[in-house]
Amino acid sequence: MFDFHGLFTGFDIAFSLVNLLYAFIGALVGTAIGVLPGLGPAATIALLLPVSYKIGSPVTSIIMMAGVYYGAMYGGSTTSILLNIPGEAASVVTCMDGYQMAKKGRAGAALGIAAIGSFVAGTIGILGLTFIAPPLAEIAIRFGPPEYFALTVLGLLMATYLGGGSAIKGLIMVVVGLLMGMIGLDPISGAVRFTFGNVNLQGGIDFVTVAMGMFGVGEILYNLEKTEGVQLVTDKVKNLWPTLADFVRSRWAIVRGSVIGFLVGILPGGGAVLSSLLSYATEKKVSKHPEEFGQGAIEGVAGPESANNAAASSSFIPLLTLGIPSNASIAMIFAALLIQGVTPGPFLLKEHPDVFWGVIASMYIGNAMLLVLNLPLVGVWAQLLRVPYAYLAPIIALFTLIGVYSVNNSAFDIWLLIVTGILGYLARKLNFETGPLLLAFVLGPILERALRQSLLISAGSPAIFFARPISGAMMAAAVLFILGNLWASWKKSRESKVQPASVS
Amino acid sequence: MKKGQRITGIVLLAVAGLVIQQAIFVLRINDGGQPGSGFLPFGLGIILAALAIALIAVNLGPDAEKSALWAAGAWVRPLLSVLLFAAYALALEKLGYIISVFALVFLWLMVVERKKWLQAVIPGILSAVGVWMIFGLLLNVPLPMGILAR
Amino acid sequence: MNKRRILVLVLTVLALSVAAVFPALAAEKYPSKPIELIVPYSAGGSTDVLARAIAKVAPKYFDVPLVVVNKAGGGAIPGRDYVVQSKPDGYILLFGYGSGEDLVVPHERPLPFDTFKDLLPVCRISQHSVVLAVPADSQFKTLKDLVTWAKSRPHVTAAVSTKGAAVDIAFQLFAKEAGFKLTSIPMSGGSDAVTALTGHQVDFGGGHPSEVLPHIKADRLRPLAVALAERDPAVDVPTFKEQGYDVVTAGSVKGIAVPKGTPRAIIDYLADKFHQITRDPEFISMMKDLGQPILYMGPDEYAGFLKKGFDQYGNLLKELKIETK
Repeated sequence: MFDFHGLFTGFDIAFSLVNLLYAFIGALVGTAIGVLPGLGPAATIALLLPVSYKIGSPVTSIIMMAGVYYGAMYGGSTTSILLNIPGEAASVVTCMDGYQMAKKGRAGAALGIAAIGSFVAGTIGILGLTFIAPPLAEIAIRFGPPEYFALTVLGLLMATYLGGGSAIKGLIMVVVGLLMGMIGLDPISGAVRFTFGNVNLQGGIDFVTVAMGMFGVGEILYNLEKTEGVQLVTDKVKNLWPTLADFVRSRWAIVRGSVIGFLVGILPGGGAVLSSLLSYATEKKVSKHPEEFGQGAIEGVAGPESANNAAASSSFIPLLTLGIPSNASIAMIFAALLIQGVTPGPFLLKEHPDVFWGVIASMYIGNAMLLVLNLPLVGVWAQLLRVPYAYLAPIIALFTLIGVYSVNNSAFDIWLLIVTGILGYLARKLNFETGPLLLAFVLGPILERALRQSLLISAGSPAIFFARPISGAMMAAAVLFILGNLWASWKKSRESKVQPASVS
Repeated sequence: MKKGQRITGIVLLAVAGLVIQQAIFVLRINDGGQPGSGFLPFGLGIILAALAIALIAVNLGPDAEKSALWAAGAWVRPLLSVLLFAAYALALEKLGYIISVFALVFLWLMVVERKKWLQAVIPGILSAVGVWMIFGLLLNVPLPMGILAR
Repeated sequence: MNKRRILVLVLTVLALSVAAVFPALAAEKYPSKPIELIVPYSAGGSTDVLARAIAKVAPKYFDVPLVVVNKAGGGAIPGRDYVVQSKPDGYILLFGYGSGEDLVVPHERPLPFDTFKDLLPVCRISQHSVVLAVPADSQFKTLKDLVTWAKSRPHVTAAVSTKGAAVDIAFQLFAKEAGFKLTSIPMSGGSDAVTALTGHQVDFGGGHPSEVLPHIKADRLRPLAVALAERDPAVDVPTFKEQGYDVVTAGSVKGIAVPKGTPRAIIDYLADKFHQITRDPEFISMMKDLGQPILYMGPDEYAGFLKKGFDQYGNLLKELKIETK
C-alpha cells in the first residue's frame, strides 16, 4: 500500500513559507549556474554549504540543494542552445540541433521546448520516484561491470551514428575521443598513460574543459574568421515561442525521452549522458525525416533535454533508498546531509520521514517553479543573440575561462582549454564533427573500466557479457543495431547505383 | 579542401604511431592473460592508423575547385584571440581575476575588434565589476585575488 | 556602547585600512586573514567532508574564517604541489596529508616534490582504517568461513577502490597471510567499490568506515575484520590480528600540513587550535555521523607516525609485488 499519508505530510512541509522560499532560491541559483558554463551543481552545492548550516533544518537545506541540482539541469540547456557550450556532459547532445535552431533564428522555440520538455520529464521522473523507487533501486545495484560494458557499447554505437557527415571522419573523431579519455592514470592497473611527464595530466582531462574548448572556444575562433561587425544570427529572431507544429512534432519525443531518462538515470555513473544519447538516437531512428537531425530538428532538442531532466530526478532514487550517491552532485548533497546528522539510505524513510517526503514533495513544486521562472526568460535569452558579436565573443570567452578555472581551481586547465579550443576550431574548418568525439571521451573510460573489470571477475572469459541476462540482451541489441545499419547502407548503395544521387 | 584533409590524415597517422609506440614500449598490452594498460590504446592506435590512411586515400587527387583553407588574413583574428587567452592564463593567478578580466575584455575589444578605446574601457570595467559581483559576492567562488589580496 | 568599545571599533577600522595599504604590516599578527584549507580532492569525498566539518566548527576557535578550496584533478598531486609552492606563512594549509598520495604513491611513481621534505606536518585529525566486508546475505559469517571457502577456490575476487592503494594493499596482505589467491578488482573509487559489493558483483570487498558504515547500519553489508592494531572506534568489528592474521596497515590518514619554511610558532598555533576543535562536542557528534574516528596527533608525533606508515607501505608493495604498470 502506498503511503499517501507520507506524501501529504511531505506537501505540508514543502508548502511552508520557508521551504517554498528556499526551493525558489535553490531553483534560481541552479538556473543561474546552469547558464554559467563550468560552474557545476556539485561545486555550487559545496559553496552553499555554509548557508545550509545557517538554515539549520536538514529538510530545508536539502530542498534548497535539490533545487540547485535540478535547476542546473534545467539551465544547462540554455548555453548549449544559444552559444554551443555544453555546461555538462548530458547537454552535448542538445548542442547538435539546439545551436542549429538558434542560428536559424529559432532559439526561442528550442529554449521553449526544452523548458516544457524538462517540466514534463521532471514531473514524470518525480512520479516514478514517488511510486516505484525501492524496487528500481534494487535492480540498479545489480548492474555490474558487464552490464555497464554492454550499455556503453550501445552508447558508443549511437555516438558514431550521431553525425551526419562522412563515416570515416565520424569514426576518427570517436577514436580520438576514446584516446583522449585515456590520458592519465589507467583506472585498473594504475599505470600513467600519455601524460609525457606532466603531473597535471595524471588525473586525466576534465570533461568541462574539453567540452568548452571543442565547442565553445572552437566556435568563437571560427566565427572570428568572418568579417568584423556582423551579428551571430543574421536572420531576425523570429517567433519567440514554439509553434503548435513544434509541439505536435515533439510531444512523443518528450514522452520517450522522459521514460528513457528515468530508467537510465537510476544507474550510478554516466546515467544522464547515456540517457540523452539514447534518446537522441531513438528520435533519429523513429523520425520520418532523419536527414533534418543535426540541421535543427526540434525533436533532437526535446527528446534529450527531457531525458536528462528525468534522469536528474531518478538519480535521487539510489541516494534516498540505498544511500548510494550516483554522481558528483548527489554525492555533495549526501555529504551535506551527513554533516547535518541525517544519513540518507534505507532508514531515511523510518528515521526522517519529513526529509524523505519533504524533498519529494518539494520537487513537484520546484519543477513548477522552474517552468514559471524559465518561460519568461526564454524571450530574454533569445534576445541575447542580438548583441553584436564583437561584444558577445569576449563575454563568452570570459565565462568559459572563469568556468574552466573554477572546476579544479587550476590554471593548467586554462591551457588545456586553449589547446582543445584550437583543435575544435581546426575540426570545424576541416568538417569534422566534434559531438561524437566528446561523447566517446565521456563513455571511453566507463567502457574500458567495465571491460577490464568484467574480465577480471570472469578470469578472462568473455562469456560473461553474454551469459548474464541484462548485458546479454543489450549485446544482442548492439549486434542488431550494427546489422540494421549495414543493411540500410547496403540498400541505399544499391538504390544509388540504380539512381545516381549526389555523393557527399 | 582535399589538401587539408590529406595533411590531417598524415597528422593522425603520426598520432596513431605515437599511441602504438607508447602502448608497446611504455604500457602493457597483455597483463598476465588479461588486457593491460596498453591493450585498448594499441587497438585504437591500429584503428586510427587505418582510418587515417582511408582519409588520405579518399582525398587523393586535385581539388575540383581551388579554395585555400584560410582566406587571405582570415587567421589573424583567431590567432590574436588565442594569444589573449594565453595572456589571461599567465596573468590570472598573479594579477588576480578582477584585473585579468578587465584586461581580457579591454584588450580583446581594442586588438581583435579594433574598437575606440572608450568603447573598450567601459565594457572592460563592466565585465570586471559584473564578474566580481556574480562570482565574488553572490556565489563566493574562491577565484584568485592576486595582487589585490589583502 | 561604552567608550572603550568605540575606541576598539575605531582602532579596528584604522588597523584594517592600514592593513589594506600595507599588507606587510598586517602579517605581523597571525592570523589576520582567511586561512585556506586546500583539499586536493573533489567536493563530496570523505576528505572534503572532513574539511568542511572542521570549517563548520572553526568560527568558535579561529578569529579568521577557514575556507575550503578544492584543487582536485591530476590524481591529487597538483593540489599538493600548489601547497608546496605557496608561501610558508600559515595561510595555505594542505588538508588530507597522510593519504595514499603521501604514503603509497611515492613508492610507485616519481612526484614533483618530496612529501616529507617539502611539507611539514601540523597534526593528524583522523585515520581511515580498512574494513573487510561481505554482503549481509552472504554465506560467510566470520573471517574463518571466508578463508576456508577462498582456499578451496582457484579464483576469488574482491572490489577495491584503486589498484595499489590502501584497501588493495590490505586485502592482498590478508590473502597472502591466509594463503589464498586473490584477484582484486579496482573500481573507480571507494564508493563504487562498495556499490559493487552490495550488488554481489564480487566475493568480498570493503573500504574505509565512512564508506561501509551506512551500508552496515542498513544491514546490507556485514563487516568481518578491520586492518588496525586495535579496534576502530568507528566500526564494531574485531581486528584481523585478533582473528589470527597479521594484517595491520595505516589505512588512509587524514592530517594537515604546511609548506616547509613555515615558522614553528605558526605550526604550534594551528596544531593547538585543531586540537581544540577535535574536542568540540559538535565536531565529535558530526564525526560520529560521518563514520570518521577522531584520532588527534600533534606535529612531532605525527611526523614519526607518517614515516613509519610510509616505510611499511614501501615494504608491503615490494613484498606483495604490487606494481602499477
